[in-house]
Amino acid sequence: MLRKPLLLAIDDEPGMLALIQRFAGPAGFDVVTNGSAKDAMARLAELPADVALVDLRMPDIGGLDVLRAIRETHPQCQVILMTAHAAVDSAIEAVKLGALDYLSKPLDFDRLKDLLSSAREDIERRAALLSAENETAHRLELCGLIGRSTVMQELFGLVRRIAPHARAALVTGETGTGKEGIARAIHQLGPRRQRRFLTINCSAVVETLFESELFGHVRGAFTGATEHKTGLFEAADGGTLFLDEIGELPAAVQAKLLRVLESGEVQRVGSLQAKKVDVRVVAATNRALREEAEAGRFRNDLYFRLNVVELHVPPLRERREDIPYLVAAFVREFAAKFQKPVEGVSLTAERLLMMADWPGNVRELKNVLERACMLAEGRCLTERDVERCLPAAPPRAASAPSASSSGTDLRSLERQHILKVLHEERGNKRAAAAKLGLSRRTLYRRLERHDITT
Amino acid sequence: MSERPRDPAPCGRLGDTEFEHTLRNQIAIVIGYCDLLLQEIRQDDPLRRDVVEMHKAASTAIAMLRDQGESV
Repeated sequence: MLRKPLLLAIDDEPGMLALIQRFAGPAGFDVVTNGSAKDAMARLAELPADVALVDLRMPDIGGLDVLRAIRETHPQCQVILMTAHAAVDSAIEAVKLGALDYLSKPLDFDRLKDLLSSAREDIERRAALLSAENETAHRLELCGLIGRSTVMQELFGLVRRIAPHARAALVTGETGTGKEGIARAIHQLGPRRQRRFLTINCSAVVETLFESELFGHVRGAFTGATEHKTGLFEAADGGTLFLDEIGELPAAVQAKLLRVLESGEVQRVGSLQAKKVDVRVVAATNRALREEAEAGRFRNDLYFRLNVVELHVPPLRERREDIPYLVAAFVREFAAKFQKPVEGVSLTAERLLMMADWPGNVRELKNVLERACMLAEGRCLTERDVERCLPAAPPRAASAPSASSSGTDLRSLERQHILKVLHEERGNKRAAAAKLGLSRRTLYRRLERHDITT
Repeated sequence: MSERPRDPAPCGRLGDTEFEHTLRNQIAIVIGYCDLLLQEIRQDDPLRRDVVEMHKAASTAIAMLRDQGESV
């Protein structure tokens, strides 16, 4: 059962504390009151307050100092300040320090009720999010992959539909989006789940060893082949072979792979004997493989053979609504791994994570949270914990050249690059020229040629 | 018998900020209890009229204090 949220009330007027208790108790809160700000601050660490109602003007310590201390100790705690003397400057300061609201006395109970119930909903939402036993979360997951957004739910639906049938599939998406996870899900949900799932990263294999890795070799096939070796196709017989970064596959190996896919037979290097294999191939790439094939850099026939079904994994920036769920899952994972009492992230930290660009997608988010959890000290990751683990913001992407932009000829690339460097150097031509490796005169000539006015 | 107040009331007069602050807080407590009672007492309960009167008087006192503060 969920515990009741804890409300901490701090005011030097006992009558006011009794009044708050009388109101907030029936509203579903456990209420702890303290008539001394000093004493309350000394006990903050042992009071896991969810909401605090703090008087602004107290004889020993001011409410703003209490607010600062609470933000420090319990960043997830929502603080409401109360005052008998409303003043604009202290109200602004309170909001700057992250107070939820600023109420004047006599208290407006309707407003307080709204604030408390929205705070309570927020607490319950976060508790549900963090609960590993959450039924809905499991229903919406796919083999451990998290995605409640429509695009991901559509992708999961497609995976479920094709998994029992497809012999080959192509997973596309930017780096870090979770292409291997999708490949594993296809394997898990298909009839081969009891058999092996093997992976090879095509960008990590030396060109001369590719054939031997994929198809195996016999003793004496080449210098150094002192033993027989089973290739990945044979090892994965009956199961699934995942070819990551398929776009990096050398042309000669592409031809051989195509033959294996078409005939269902492999031949070890140095052997004349062909062996039947039954392997489901899932390939993945972060390149635009169709364009690569059209440009002749990837075999067209192999592309069509692999692309029986194409599954596109969207970048994280196109499914930001999934971020809170991913964050909750990663925090849970790393808190357990590092044996830290971290339970979640503060509201401001969550906002920061929601707004980041994530060029490295889910993998980058995971790495940031791993670092943040490793360094964290409290129950809750604060904005500062997260901020120090986020990479420095890159210059605005709008002016940066991108491989998919329409103008990819050298001239427009040069123009875009000059614009980008000028932007980074805030229009300072001397600095931009130095960065571009040009003299100032040359830079001026290029600006003129490209019709760039600054 | 009613309880005695915890401390003797601070000596002061209108125009003294500390004194006004304490007074405002005390009246805010009265108004707060009246608000809670008014939410709980049924519309046709004769006690309701008494609470409304208390609320009215305390609100007038707070307004007077506010005017006083502004005129200083």
